[in-house]
Amino acid sequence: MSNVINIGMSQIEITSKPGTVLVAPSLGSCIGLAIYDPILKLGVMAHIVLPDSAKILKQTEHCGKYADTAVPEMLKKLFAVGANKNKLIVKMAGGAQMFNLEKGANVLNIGLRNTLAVKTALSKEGLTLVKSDTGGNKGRTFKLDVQTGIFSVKLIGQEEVEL
Amino acid sequence: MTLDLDKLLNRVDAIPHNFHIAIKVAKMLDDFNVNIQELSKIIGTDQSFTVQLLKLCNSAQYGFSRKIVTVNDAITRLGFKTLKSLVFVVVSKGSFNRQIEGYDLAKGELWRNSLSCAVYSKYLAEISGYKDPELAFTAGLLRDIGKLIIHEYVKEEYDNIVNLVTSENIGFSEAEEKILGYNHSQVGAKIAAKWNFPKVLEETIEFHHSPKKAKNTCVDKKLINIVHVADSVTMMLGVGIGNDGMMHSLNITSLENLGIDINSVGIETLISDMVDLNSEIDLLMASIS
Repeated sequence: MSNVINIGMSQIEITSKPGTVLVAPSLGSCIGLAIYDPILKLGVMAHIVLPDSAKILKQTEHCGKYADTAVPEMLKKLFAVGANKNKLIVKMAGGAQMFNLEKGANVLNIGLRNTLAVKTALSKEGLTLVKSDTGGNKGRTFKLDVQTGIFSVKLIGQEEVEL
Repeated sequence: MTLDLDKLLNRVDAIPHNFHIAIKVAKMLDDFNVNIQELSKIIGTDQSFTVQLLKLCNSAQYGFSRKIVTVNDAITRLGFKTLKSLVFVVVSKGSFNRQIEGYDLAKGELWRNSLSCAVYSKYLAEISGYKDPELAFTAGLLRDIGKLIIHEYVKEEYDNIVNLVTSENIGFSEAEEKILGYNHSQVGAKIAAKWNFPKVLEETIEFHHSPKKAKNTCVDKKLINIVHVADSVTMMLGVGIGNDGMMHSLNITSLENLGIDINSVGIETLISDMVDLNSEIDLLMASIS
């Protein structure tokens, strides 16, 4: 029986405990971002809510809340336990958008802005996104099994598939 | 398939609920000359209801150092408006905290979603200077009551509804209405009327996905806007969302009506602040488990 760590909004969790599955449940416009070191069988996952910490007038203490602060924090946690930057596998899921008919409503497309912000933050750190499942109008759950290194995604109403 | 609304509403009676207590209590609490002894007696007739209500009143978020032990005590210390919204929390749990198969919601998901919408509605009410934030809480809590009734039919027609969303570029509710004859908001409003909810709640339930359709004769259009925005943010954040997920549109005019800046800073700041309320939602969930 695997041990599940549910990662709530704005949280970051890291583990190498065998049999543990990191889960970012019920992602709407939020992003589940996971980085995995296959040699150490070590995974870190963030449940990112918003793209850019600098835009927010009231700063909060949660690095995991914003794409630009979550990515460096995840790397800091990985390197602190000896992860090798060249071996890291990076995948993400989420970033859905509200169905919207109104013109000029792009400002409400947080999902897309989150997706782009994560990509920018990753490239700033020299990391390559291996695979992603983003966009659309449905919620998702994103998982990483740290023992097997298998990433999976489940769209609401559909079967879970490997990412 | 078109729903037979009368048949559907007749079935509603069969659903276990103690909303009649909530309605009676809510109406009594609206009356400033309410007889508190009488009120305590009505609440006290249902032992488990009283226990749950007092447990909720004593939860950490209200921060009373001395425990509330009687309904009388609760009324005095929390005030009528807060007590009224807590009464609705207690009675709603029985109906909302279960699996809603047609919307692919596991047990607990619609409950968390509804409590989140309630807390977000209250917050939006406070920041927009709305007169009664506790009423906004209750309106947000109950807005999806129609889903409890309509979900079996949505399950049957789900593929057709989603196909219509895509082919006609319309929101999920509108597609529900085209396929089933009624959407979950309209069915919810009918239930609210049948159960003698205050008119203002009936209208927020009916128009929570379509604030533009709310007529000027509606009791409280601002409340409809509040619940619409809270519902949209709840969905956007993925909190207990079902298979209709984010296939609903967000009306910019509603945001403007609440004085929210329609630019990326305004929207992202709002969401950031609302996410910070999640610990309060966790506390509420835990207080009534």
